[in-house]
Amino acid sequence: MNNLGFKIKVNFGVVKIKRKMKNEELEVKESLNIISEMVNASKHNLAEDSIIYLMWGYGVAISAIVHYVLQYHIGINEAFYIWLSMPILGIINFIYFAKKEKKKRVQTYINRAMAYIWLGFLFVILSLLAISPQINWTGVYPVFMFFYGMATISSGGILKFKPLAIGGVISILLGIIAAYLAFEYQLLLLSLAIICSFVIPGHLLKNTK
Amino acid sequence: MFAPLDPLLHSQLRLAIMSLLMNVEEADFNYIKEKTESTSGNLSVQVNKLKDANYIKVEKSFKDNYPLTKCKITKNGINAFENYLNALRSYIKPN
Repeated sequence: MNNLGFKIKVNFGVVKIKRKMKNEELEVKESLNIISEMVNASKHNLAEDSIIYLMWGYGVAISAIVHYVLQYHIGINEAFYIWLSMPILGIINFIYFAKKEKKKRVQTYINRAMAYIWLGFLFVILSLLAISPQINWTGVYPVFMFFYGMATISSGGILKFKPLAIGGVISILLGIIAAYLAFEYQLLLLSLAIICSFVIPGHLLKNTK
Repeated sequence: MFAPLDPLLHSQLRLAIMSLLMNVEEADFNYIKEKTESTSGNLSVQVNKLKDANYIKVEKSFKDNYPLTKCKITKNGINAFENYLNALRSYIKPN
């Protein structure tokens, strides 16, 4: 009897330990679930700002083509006024991000890195425009294309989104070709560069979920 | 054999808060509330516990007349989270 009682007691102990281990395993699984759920919940939404890439992409691509057609096929010398579209897009861009900033409830490394890349890009483009009288216009557009490329390659790397980076490389290569061509063909290459670096990646970004 | 699990992190909501803050630089109280699907009352209690342990930093201010509470993980919190992850690992049997 005593012997049996002892055995039962021991068995109870084992069962208890086993049950405890099972509980802890479950808790561990639960903990891992919580962690991965939260990592997913705070993931950067790639599609978020695709509209901005599309706006600038189409804006520049269409302006360049309109400039080309008006000046070289219709013969209007003031065709460059089409580029007044850029400050207009700039204002829309500013309003978009000001509104977003107001609603922003979280700051991430990705957002900060992207903001500074494009801020730097903006300063460089404005500086290039400011010194453009000092450089020949045929020298300005290829440099624009280099900077489109630089900014989209960095953005593609940060977002881990290859199409942007590939578009950036194409834009730089087109910039090299453009440097050897007349201004009218530079306009067409500029249009093609922005389609590769902004428009196509912008559409692909929009479709990521 | 089993490493002890930090009781401060071994709780559903507190672990969720810490996991979120590990992934971002700083987050608004309402953002955390939405992502963790918790109630303001419970979240506020758990945030304070983490703050008292110096795992997170809480900054209270106002934005457009509305109170704004920003939370940020501290170096101490990152260490605690990493230790917790390592402890969790000891519970997972290698196959």
